[in-house]
Amino acid sequence: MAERSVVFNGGPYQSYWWNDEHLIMHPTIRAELVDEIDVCSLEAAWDKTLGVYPLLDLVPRVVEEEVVFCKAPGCVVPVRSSRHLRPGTEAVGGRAVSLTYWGATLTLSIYHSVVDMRGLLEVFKTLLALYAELHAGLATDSSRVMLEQGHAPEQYFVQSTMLIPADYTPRPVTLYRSIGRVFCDECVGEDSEDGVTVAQVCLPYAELVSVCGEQKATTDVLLLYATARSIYGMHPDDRRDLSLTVECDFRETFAVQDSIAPCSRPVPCVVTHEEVMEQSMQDALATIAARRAQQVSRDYICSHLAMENTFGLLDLKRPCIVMSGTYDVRLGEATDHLRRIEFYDCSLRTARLLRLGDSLLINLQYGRRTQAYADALVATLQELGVDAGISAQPHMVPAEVASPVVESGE
Amino acid sequence: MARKVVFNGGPMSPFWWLDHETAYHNKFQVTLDHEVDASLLAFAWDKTKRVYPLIDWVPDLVDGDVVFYEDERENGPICSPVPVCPGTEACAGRAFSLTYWGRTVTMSASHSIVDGGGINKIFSKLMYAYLGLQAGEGDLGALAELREGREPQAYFRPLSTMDLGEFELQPLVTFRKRKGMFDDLDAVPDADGHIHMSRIKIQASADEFINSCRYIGANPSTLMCLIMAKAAYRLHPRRFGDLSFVLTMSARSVLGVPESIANCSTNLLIPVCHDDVMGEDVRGAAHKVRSVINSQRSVDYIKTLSAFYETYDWIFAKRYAVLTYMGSIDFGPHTWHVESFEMTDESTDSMFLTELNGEFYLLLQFGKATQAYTEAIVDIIADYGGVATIDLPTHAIDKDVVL
Repeated sequence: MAERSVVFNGGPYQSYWWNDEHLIMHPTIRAELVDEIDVCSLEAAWDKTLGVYPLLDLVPRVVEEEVVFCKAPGCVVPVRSSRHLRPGTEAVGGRAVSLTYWGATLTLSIYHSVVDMRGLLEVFKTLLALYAELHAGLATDSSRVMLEQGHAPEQYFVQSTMLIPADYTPRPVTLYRSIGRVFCDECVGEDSEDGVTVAQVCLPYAELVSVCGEQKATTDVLLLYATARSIYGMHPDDRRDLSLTVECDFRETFAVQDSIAPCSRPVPCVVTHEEVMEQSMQDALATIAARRAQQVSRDYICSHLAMENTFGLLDLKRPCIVMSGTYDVRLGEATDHLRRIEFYDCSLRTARLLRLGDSLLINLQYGRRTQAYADALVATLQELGVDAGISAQPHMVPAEVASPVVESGE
Repeated sequence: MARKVVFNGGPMSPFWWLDHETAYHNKFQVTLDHEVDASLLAFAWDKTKRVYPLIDWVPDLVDGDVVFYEDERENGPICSPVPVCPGTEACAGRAFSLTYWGRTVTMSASHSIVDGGGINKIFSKLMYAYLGLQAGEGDLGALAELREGREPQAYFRPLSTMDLGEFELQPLVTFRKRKGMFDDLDAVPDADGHIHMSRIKIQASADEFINSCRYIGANPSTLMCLIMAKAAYRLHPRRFGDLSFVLTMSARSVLGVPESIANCSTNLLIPVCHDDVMGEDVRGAAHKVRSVINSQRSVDYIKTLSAFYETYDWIFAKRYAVLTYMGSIDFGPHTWHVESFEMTDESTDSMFLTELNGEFYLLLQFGKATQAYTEAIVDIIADYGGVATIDLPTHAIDKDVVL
């Protein structure tokens, strides 16, 4: 019976599946638009979004350690609810995706087994572009978003487990020599059962680029340096090494840019107290840049991917930050319809970077220490000459719920 | 009552919790050609404990470290038809239990303290002493094999606590393609939780066996991989995906701690593919497997693996089976009094190859599928031109009991 309803086999699953079934939150985008949600336009836009990504209207299952998408009765539609609905529940027809709205706010979340953060953002961009057009007649820069209907699933769903590194020279991956030498802030702690704490730092992108230009550094190297300095500054007595982590996206290397499926993993870059706090800024940036430079070669990316695929998923010990790539939300006029956007999941020690308008938004999750980390990062960036500020004070996003809540929850 | 820590063994091994839950500890058992002499065994056990005083201390956890206490209670050989659970009252809280019954002697040990190689060292000393005494060689003290009075640091050196020093990171062996890789869903304990094993005897002298391995360019470890892979594909004729094996290897000699009884095994990863294993070119397949094994035997590779375990949690690669070449069981000049040998643990996906008195044996533990593998492997050895017989039919392994 079950076999007959399988529409698409997405290949070997990743260990996100357990999290999807048990954690209180999934990869989520919450966006506040400029005016109250127009339900008709939203429903139509969502319908078209499912036409662009039809897999999202199927039910994912794990069969013999593979993610398969099955036909099933029911459907997933936008639901009015002040609390976001949990994907995988009856309320969303068992689909891996959930879309809710309340006032001017839209919230979209999807199983991590089905999308990574970049994939989630692509789905959201499609929805936003279609909605802005239907609701306000705003045009979209179509080179920045997928709007065509009717793609085959393998064109937009390629998990990293399906990629086969070939024709590369295996490289050793970055490893700790001794875990005892790696810093861990025990105070970050787990979030509560009730929700996750998120904050957002905002900085003028042009200013960041200009400081980077003066220092001959890339933006990610400068942000890692700023993070390292703020963490050492917060813990003046701790001189252990820091494991700075950057998400390694496999899409470009394997030419699967349109994939929304999980296709990225963090890679550690270890720095010492001496390098960050005692050397000159220029030397520190050069050190981090040299370490990162090795990790962006095709050989390294293939080697890391092969390791991830061999060991299921590699669960890194003691990262002090997991920094995403910089994801672009600029879609042309359609973006004007966006007032605020937040990007989070059930994780700790994460920084997710979004380009919106003239700003770079850094979505931070450091559990109970989110405030301290956000303040420290802002202060360090200001010292470096970037006028950063906090665009969303730390607040708790409540856990997803199984059925809609129609009283105001906030 | 304050107890005094006599030795800190370093960070707890992840096997600690398994030891407390399982009824199947790592276990060595021999059947002798005579009824066990209880008083000689007790004497030999005392002697062994003087060679390795740590095995007569009681382990406990303090702040994440395994520490050892002295304890006045006696842990002598226990007359019992079933093995006794280490760490329990019957063996006075020690990590080792020694039982005997009729012609058999059995040692069961906590994996958090020693690995198979470690038990082999301890059990070998014990049997060396026992068989020597039994043969009328009274003066054991003169034998260098049984050196007493060493500090625990001299023989307890877990791989996980070694300082890696300077070394060159190596790329680790990885799988080619995950899609299609498989394992055996029947290789699990039966409905009552029993684990089964069997033993195959290769009907050739050790020399003949090694020569026939060489003929196809294999060594015993390589041959184990080839046999196991053929068995897997034979039992799953519609599966063509890649397989992977874990080959356990003692890192003692590579890392310069040959005397260590502590956990010093390293897991080599051996991926194989259908076309290589099932094709006509046996020498080519053997060459590939052997190269993969050899690439993982360097000091730098083993240290890279240690660094890998420092960096990541819950490291687990998909595996079809765990293969171990134990080498020969050697209890000295009187080893010929040993009629048979068994080594078992709590796994349901493992094969051990061992040599006893000039003959090779395969020990199989594949849970509910043990019989199927036993028959398949006998046939596969015949295909290779050898003769193998079922030496010990499939049966449930005795659980360790709490007396």
